[in-house]
Amino acid sequence: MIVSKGDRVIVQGITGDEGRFYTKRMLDYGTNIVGGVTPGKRGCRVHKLPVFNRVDELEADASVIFVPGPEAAQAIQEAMKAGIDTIVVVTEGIPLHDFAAIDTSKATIIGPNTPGLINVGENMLGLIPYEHFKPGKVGILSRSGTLMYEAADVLSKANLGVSSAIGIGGDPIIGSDFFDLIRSFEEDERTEAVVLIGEIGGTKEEHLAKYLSGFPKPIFSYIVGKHAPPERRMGHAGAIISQGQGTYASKIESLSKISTIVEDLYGLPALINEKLSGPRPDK
Amino acid sequence: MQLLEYEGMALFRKYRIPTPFGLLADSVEAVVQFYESNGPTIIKAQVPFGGRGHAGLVKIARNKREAQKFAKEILGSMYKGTVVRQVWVSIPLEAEKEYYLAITFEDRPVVIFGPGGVDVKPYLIKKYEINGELPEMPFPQEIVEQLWTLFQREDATLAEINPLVKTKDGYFALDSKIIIDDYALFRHAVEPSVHVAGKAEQEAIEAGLQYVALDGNIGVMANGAGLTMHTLDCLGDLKPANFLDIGGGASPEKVAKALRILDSNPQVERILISIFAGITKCDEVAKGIIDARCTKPLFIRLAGTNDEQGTKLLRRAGLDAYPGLQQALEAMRQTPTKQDAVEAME
Repeated sequence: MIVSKGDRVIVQGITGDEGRFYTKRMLDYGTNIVGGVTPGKRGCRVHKLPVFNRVDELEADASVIFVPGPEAAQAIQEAMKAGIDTIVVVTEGIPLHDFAAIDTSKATIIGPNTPGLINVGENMLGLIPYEHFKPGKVGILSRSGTLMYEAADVLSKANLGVSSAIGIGGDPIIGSDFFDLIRSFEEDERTEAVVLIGEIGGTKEEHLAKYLSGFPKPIFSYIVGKHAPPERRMGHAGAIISQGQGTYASKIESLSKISTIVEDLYGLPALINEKLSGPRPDK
Repeated sequence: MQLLEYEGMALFRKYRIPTPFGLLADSVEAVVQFYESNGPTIIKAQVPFGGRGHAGLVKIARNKREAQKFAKEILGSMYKGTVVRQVWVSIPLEAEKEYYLAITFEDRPVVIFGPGGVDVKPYLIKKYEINGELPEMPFPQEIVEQLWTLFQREDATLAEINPLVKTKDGYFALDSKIIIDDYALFRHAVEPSVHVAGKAEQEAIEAGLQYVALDGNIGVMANGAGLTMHTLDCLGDLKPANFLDIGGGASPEKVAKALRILDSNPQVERILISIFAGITKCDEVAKGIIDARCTKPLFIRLAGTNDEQGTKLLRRAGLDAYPGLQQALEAMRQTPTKQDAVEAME
């Protein structure tokens, strides 16, 4: 999976309220955090971890960013320059132009506006409420953070559990898409099925359906927004860009080609169990 | 945040995109004065919505009587919950050709252009990714170059001109639609609350909430757009009165403000609160719920960060919290409403 158990993790924005609070949560879960960065705070300690001014003062495999919106894009660029492979951007509120200017091919960027990722029983990067994630066999890829927790809760209560979960982020432009991340579940031995949680708006789900082929594990798609008020602000431009995609119907139509559509999230465990137990013998 | 037309026109002028001479007017007298100085006048209501033409909010006055009549009709009228307080008055132009031109984001910035006007046909519009060079336009290249500069410098997520017209005196942008990235407002001098309709929507924007009014009688509040939509989808035959996302990490004050918006809505009979806390803290939410002093029955689901503390606080205040959304929904369905009580008596 992206970010293995022993990978060294740093926290950017570690001395802020959120950085501090969630660093403790990540440490409690067993994440190998080696230090943090807040410009001007070198020499401080947060939960006994050393704090530095710059990312290049540390050696690490991954970074979790809690830096506020106005400065976060800069923090991402700094992490990329320092050679960090995986950057989890929890921050909500990065100006679109700032993020769009980042060359996202130089590292694996998760987010922005994501609760992060969790490899259940191994590590957690971000602010995921891990108490609701029992170890198990289902991978989750979600646009929504809080709905990811709900799905994990449902799977955990049904004793299917979660292998790993990644919040791909709620912003219109993100570093890694469903398509970019689903392959990591293919390779992961613990994962037997994958749940996609999408929503109306944008074309991320349609994009996955169009380009994914030969995925060896069953996929289940839950799409919300069936009853939500439609996005009307973009007007003509929206119609031109989306060309009919982005609606609930469009997502269901395209995802039904590569996955089982989940109508009721609370019926998901039954669907998965049925699929995983294989075809019924003919009577 | 969508700018009003006159604000967009001001930005066009700042970036040297030609616009016809025009002024902002907020009285019938000002409109008449414009007519007297300039002749035939186009009068356009300044509201944060499209569809003005169909609603009679764009008129051309060809004499003084019409200038007075149309100004009186448009100013002070109600449109989609907003009172029209200002109009843009301008000189109508004769268009030889009309174009549609816009710059927006897909995964990267794109420029879209083609024939424009009242009825834009999406299949006739071309789309190009902006990768350094801007494609050749059927109108002066400076216009798209300046629009691109505007798009970047003003943190726009959409900068649209429809129509861009060719006249005997040159090219002019006759309307503007500019949406500024909400995440970038901190570095621009705009007041968000001015640009929305309705008291509840205004309060919501000021409180940093995502709020959309709907038709039903169940007030719904949740944290995160996905969870909020999921909660709406779970209502089944029950009808939501609104969509309300309190976002992540809401403070007690923000939660209380959100609840008061729902509680004070006469349409709302019951309120469902659906919280699964990651960055949000359940005890903060609980404090906000208690402070709000709702008059209407509450059905609360609390799970996630600090859910035990939050539930304890609520119980002490005489409120119930459920660990599961389905449980909260079930409790809500079991609780008779006023309507049920009326029906039972009949």
